[in-house]
Amino acid sequence: MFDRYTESVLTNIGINIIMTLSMYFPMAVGQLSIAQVGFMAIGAHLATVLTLHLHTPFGLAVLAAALVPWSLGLLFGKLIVRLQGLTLAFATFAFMEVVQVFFLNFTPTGDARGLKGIAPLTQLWHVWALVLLLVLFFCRLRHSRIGRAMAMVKHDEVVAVTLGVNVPQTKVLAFAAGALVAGIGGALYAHYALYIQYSDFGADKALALLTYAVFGGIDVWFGGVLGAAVLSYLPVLLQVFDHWRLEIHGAIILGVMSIRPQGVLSSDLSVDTRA
Amino acid sequence: MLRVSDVQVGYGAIRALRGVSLEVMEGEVVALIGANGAGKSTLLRTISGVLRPSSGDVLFEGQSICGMAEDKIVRRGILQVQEGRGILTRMTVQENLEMGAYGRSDKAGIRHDMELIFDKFPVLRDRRKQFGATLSGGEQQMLAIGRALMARPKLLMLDEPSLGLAPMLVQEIFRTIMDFKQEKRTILLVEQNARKALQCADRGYVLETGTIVLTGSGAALLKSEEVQAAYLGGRA
Repeated sequence: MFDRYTESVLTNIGINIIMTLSMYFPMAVGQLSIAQVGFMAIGAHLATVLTLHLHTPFGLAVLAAALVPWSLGLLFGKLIVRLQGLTLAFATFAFMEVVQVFFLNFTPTGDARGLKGIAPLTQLWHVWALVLLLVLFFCRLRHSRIGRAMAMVKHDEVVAVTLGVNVPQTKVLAFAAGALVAGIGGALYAHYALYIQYSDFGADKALALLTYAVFGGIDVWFGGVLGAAVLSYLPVLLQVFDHWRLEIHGAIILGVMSIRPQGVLSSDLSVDTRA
Repeated sequence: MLRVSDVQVGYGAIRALRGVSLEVMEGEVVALIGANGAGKSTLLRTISGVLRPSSGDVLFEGQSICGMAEDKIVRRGILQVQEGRGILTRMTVQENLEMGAYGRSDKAGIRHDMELIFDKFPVLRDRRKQFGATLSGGEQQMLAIGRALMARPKLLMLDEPSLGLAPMLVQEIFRTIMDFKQEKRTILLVEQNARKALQCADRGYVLETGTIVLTGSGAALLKSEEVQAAYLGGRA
């Protein structure tokens, strides 16, 4: 349908959208998590080892890349459930760093050399089907019981309890859900990029995802879609972007913070604020 | 429906409740009056699970809820409207009400109840799309009560609902409580405004420094000399 180049660009944008949306699960309960990249790494390496060395079918590999991060997400989520704000961000950052160092040293997944020769199993429709699924999910979430619980936890944990919400459980579930999506994103990324190494899943990637979210709008999930779509397409238009990516991401975050901190899209665009 | 038996609660070394027993039966409005610091809020907090008694028991519908997690107690049907109201400020009036229906999944029922609450509190209907933070104190109080009603509580506990409100609004709040009485709702009403509380109530308890000193029907307490002297400004 599309030529190879366009397909590649669209796949990349789709994967970025998936990864950015994975951050919105913990953000929906008010937790800023930088751990998604760590789960992406786990998903990517696990799926690759399965397809490359163990000749597992792609579907099963992706499933594993979803379930293992989900379980780890539940465990880690329980550990951090009492943390808030800055300490939470640091804890999730630490998780990402630990995962990165792990893969740097873990020989079965290629340690410093990474894994090459990955089969190009990710197809455009895989990625965009997942994007569509996530979009539908977030649309329905608001009107569901768990969505209401998450909104209340994000807004005011104390009030949430008085209305019957099990706050710790809600937070852990949100975190684990984000991990699951990040894991799948990682698996899809690995079979698209065809070569992965530990450094692909570090602070650079985390900052990129954060930039997409901050730019597009931290409050609302469609901000993440917008941010990821626009900002991962920009380097394609402006080739010069590539060498200055880090600096430009930093500049974008600073710019957004000074001009419109909530990002381009936010929840108050559709609500009557007349007193 | 609710039975508090000989409950003792302390904040560290301070004994806030020294052996308090009270009962609320289905369909009644029970008033708990007393001065500041008597322990009324402490008792409500003990019932909702925020505080754990050092001795005694709290039974709801025959089952002990002593020491149960707060959110579990709420899901059992005990809703408390606190002083300070706990409004979700960055959400709209409508969203606040929707959040009250958190535990429910019957969409039609939720919409129906919301209309009933708007009928009860028309000012909330006018302000349905406004943020909670933009409401006045009285409106927030109505929103807090409306939100609790959305959960279809079995027992509704109101902690000083008239606190800090202008006299006209105080009247409205108590008119609402009288409506609750007509609707046969089960209410535990904690109030400093003793006269109004006892006028609404079927029965009442008087709490002084951690113990119940008096109990009786609302009318009897209103007429009692001790209550008159201590809480109703002497012989009227």
